[in-house]
Amino acid sequence: MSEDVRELIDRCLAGDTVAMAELVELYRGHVFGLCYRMLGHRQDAEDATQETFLRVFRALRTYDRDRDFRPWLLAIAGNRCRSHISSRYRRPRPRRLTGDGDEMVDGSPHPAGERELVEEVELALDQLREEYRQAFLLFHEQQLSYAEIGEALGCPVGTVKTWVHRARREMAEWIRRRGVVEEVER
Amino acid sequence: MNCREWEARINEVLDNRGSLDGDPELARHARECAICAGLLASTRELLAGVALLDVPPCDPQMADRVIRELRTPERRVSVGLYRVAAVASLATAAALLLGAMLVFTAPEGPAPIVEQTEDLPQPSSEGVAVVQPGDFNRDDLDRDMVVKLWRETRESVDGIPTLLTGQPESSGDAAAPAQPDGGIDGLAESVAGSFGFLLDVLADADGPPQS
Ligand SMILES: [Zn+2]
Repeated sequence: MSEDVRELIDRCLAGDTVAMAELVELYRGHVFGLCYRMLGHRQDAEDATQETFLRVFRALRTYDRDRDFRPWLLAIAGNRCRSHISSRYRRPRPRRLTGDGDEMVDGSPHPAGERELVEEVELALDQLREEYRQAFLLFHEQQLSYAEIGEALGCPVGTVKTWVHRARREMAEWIRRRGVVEEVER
Repeated sequence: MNCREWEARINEVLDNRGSLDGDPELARHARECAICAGLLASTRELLAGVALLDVPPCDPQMADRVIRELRTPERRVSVGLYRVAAVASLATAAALLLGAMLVFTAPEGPAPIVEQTEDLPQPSSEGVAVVQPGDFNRDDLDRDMVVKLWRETRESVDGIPTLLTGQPESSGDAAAPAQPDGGIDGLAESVAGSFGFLLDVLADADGPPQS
């Protein structure tokens, strides 16, 4: 953990709200990205992000300074998301991760070819089991480490690796079957 | 390098966030194997597509929201209330559990009879005459007699073999022998224990009961 973060945490512990705001600013992207990929809804993800930081500040005294801060933070975020998932009942996750729906990212400026590829990747993601999808996106899109994903999803690193490998394999197979790679030189 | 090793290699490269183009071994096998070549191409496409995925921006006011919420005392009160409610629920559950245990636990008494009969090497040829007179605790005599009578009556009516008779269970479920303290036997012992207690009280008041 960098000295800057350590100092920021010390100031937060002293009740410095400016430091708290700085800590949120520093990590809200990571936390929100994780929550969004676990929950699939922007509003839910924002609520979970807010709850995560509230928990973090209330539990900051119990935080072990010898550990990295980010995995601890993401583990809390993962717990919040799992609580959300278990409490909301049977709301379907959005079919599309980008595009023009209510829950989705709007106005993607990709050219037609890229937009097509994104759609195929989204379709491939839709075919995956939930845990494969989450693990894959957290690793490849959110660029979390396997250890961080394990903390966030509450499972061993070996399991996360297996999920990511299977997700990759299944999605690559999907893309090959869909003929997306025919244009790609061999 | 065979296909399996090749796939393990591709996973290793990607797990370490390496480039698929930076590994000559991967390329060599892909040139010789059409299946793996297809997998390599589709994996490249997949990763290119993932790089194009977007996550919506987080609320830029998130820090304000968090700090505002931290300053709001009601939430802490409600958390405190939840804790009180949780403790109260636990206490209620514990009280109910204790009550249930008091109601359903058979009073002491017949257990030694069961231990005796479980050690019997042969099914008893004497029917229910398993409880030997010498096994009676004189103080429990009346209660034990009730247990014995109850069992004799039950078996003569239902013909249900029990552990006490030394006969095997007719159900054939060898993995689930009758539990001496559970089910109908437990109930019998519980009832018999209560009955025995009543007899004891009567004995104290009126002398030995007539059998
Ligand atoms: Zn091959």
